[in-house]
Amino acid sequence: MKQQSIFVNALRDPLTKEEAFKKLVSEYKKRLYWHIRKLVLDHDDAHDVVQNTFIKIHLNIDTFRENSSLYTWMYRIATNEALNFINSKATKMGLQNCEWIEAKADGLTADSYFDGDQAALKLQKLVARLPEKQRIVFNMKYFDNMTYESISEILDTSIGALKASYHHAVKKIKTELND
Amino acid sequence: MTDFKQNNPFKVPKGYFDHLEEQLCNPEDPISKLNPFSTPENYFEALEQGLTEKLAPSTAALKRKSRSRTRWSFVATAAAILLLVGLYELPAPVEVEKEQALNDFIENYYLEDFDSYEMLSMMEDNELEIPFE
Repeated sequence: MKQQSIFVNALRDPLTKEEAFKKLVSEYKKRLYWHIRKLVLDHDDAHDVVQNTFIKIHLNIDTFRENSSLYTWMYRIATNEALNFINSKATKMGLQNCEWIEAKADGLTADSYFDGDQAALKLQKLVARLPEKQRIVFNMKYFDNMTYESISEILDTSIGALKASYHHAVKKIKTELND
Repeated sequence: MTDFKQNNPFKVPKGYFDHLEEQLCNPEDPISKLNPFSTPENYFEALEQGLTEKLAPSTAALKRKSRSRTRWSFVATAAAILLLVGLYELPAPVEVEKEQALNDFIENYYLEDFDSYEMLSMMEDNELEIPFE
């Protein structure tokens, strides 16, 4: 935590900010990108969101209170940015968020940056049909192997509620896969 | 019961733990192999470069701002020191009593408009008695 404080101070100091931010991007770009990509599905959209996420981190580092780890704070920003992005895109098209995501999942077959087989495609389509909260929890738990404690911090939700969400998500997917 | 503890019936695939360690410790691939998504070639290098360029002007501006702020704080400190020194070095203002000030004013007023003869005519006799040494 002490090391994190030193790094956060370097990010805040106008004289060291640039160098520290380069380190931050280098360290976390992939993890944040993949978290966002799972939520928005499309590479170009993920690229927009990851850029906005890093810009927000850069601009708001002074508001980071160090109550949580820097990684958790950044993950929270990335999640919020991705959800805001989906919301804004869906609203512009006059769709519900889940409808927009389902349309994106249906378009994965034509996506040149999607290498999955039929099973992977089916799984993504089923995940897209989950309610938003369940979808986020499922992605973080199943694909990213995150602990409930970390997810709880990021989403500001109790561990019990997260377990319930994940349980429901898995049950729905299993049922659909068996049909 | 101890036999059950000693003979673990569960097995893992050959080399599983080596692979697991590799998978867990390799920061290049934090995502499991279930990930069917991919990115354009050299995407992450370009992303880093793009972000650095995008945010560089604001950082440079911050640096300039910081330098300017340092310069102004130096000027402000110097001005404050000069002001303090000036306050201590200046002679204390002479306190003049109200009555004295009024007399001085009247005196100056008359001196401006009267010549020495007129002034002498206005003076009392006893005031004219100037002892000669």
